[in-house]
Amino acid sequence: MLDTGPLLTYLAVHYLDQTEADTARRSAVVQDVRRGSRFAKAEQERFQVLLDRSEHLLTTPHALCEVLKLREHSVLSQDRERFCRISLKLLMDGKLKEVSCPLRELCADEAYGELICRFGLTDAAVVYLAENERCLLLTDDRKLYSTYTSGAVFEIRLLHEYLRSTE
Amino acid sequence: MPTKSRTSQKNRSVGPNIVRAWFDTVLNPLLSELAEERRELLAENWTWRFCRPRLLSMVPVRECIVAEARDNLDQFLTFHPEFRRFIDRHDRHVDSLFQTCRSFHRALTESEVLQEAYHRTTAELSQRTGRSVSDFFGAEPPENHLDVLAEYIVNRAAKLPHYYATAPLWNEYSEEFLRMRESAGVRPHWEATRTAGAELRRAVDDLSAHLKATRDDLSLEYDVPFVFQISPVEPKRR
Repeated sequence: MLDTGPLLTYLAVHYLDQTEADTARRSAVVQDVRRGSRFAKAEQERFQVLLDRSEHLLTTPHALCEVLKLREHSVLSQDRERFCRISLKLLMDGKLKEVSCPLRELCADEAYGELICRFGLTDAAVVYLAENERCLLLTDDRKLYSTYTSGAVFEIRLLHEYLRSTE
Repeated sequence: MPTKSRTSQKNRSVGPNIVRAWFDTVLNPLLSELAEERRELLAENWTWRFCRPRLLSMVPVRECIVAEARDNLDQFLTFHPEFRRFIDRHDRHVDSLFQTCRSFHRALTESEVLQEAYHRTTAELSQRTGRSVSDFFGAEPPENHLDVLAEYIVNRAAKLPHYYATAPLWNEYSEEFLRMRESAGVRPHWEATRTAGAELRRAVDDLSAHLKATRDDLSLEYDVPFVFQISPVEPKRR
């Protein structure tokens, strides 16, 4: 399960591959997308291997919506249309499954209502699906990570730590 | 009047807008790339890749700057020509390291010691796990298996994460594979690569130190901060 940060990274790396971006362009886009967390070329490569080796990737419509919006002044937004076209093609190829999570279904459990108020709808939906699917949730969100590190029925990991780990 | 404008350029002064552009498009990206190079060089991970032969994390300086900002690099060099020497030295050592890695790789793939170890270890692991040899190399065709191992040896690869197809083989036998660097036909190439890596590291250190010093001078002289704006840390908090 990919939260917004890893999902955007996934789409950005794919976009860079498809456009055969040179070293400098890759660094500029990746640095912009990863904002503040180091993501060296070797880590990009590991991320690619991880995704290639994963049978299924899951995400939510809310996460997709946030990611495809792009920030107004991001490096990627300068080529927004092409990024969008390339991303949509990837999203349609079937590897990444978009699992819907209606608000009514989410709010049927009071705890998720609370979660929406605390973390927002996107995070609440991602956590809800990770619980249902009992899958690994990759995120960049330290707050979310620290909330669910212990006692959750699903595994949650920070992307950059997961990529460096050899467990 | 190209001649006249060329002559007068020397007398023109730099202002804060130009310094801001140098920081954002040349100095900061370059320092960031050099820091990544340094980290890998210290670990003696040359980031050599046999497929489309290259050093993944070590590239000539010009390639560290996005194409549309390369004119800014040229302008910076016009005002700071002393950097040409540091940049040439860096790029020369990147090329030397690339050449030594390629020779090191070739020496390994041609080495009988590696070929013997490949057949023995894969057979052992295959028998123990009931998996085929191809399973330990993912999508790599059999003709590339030795190349994969040689690349790991050249880069002194550490333990691999579980999602690497090669992890079961490499994580179990990496010590034995890495010892092959010391075998007779391979050792001179290993030593040459280490020497090239150490020289590149010195070039990276010198270039970084001079870039930082110049950035410092420009920052104080023109009242331009190194970084103008800090973006939110979390990608999703937009």
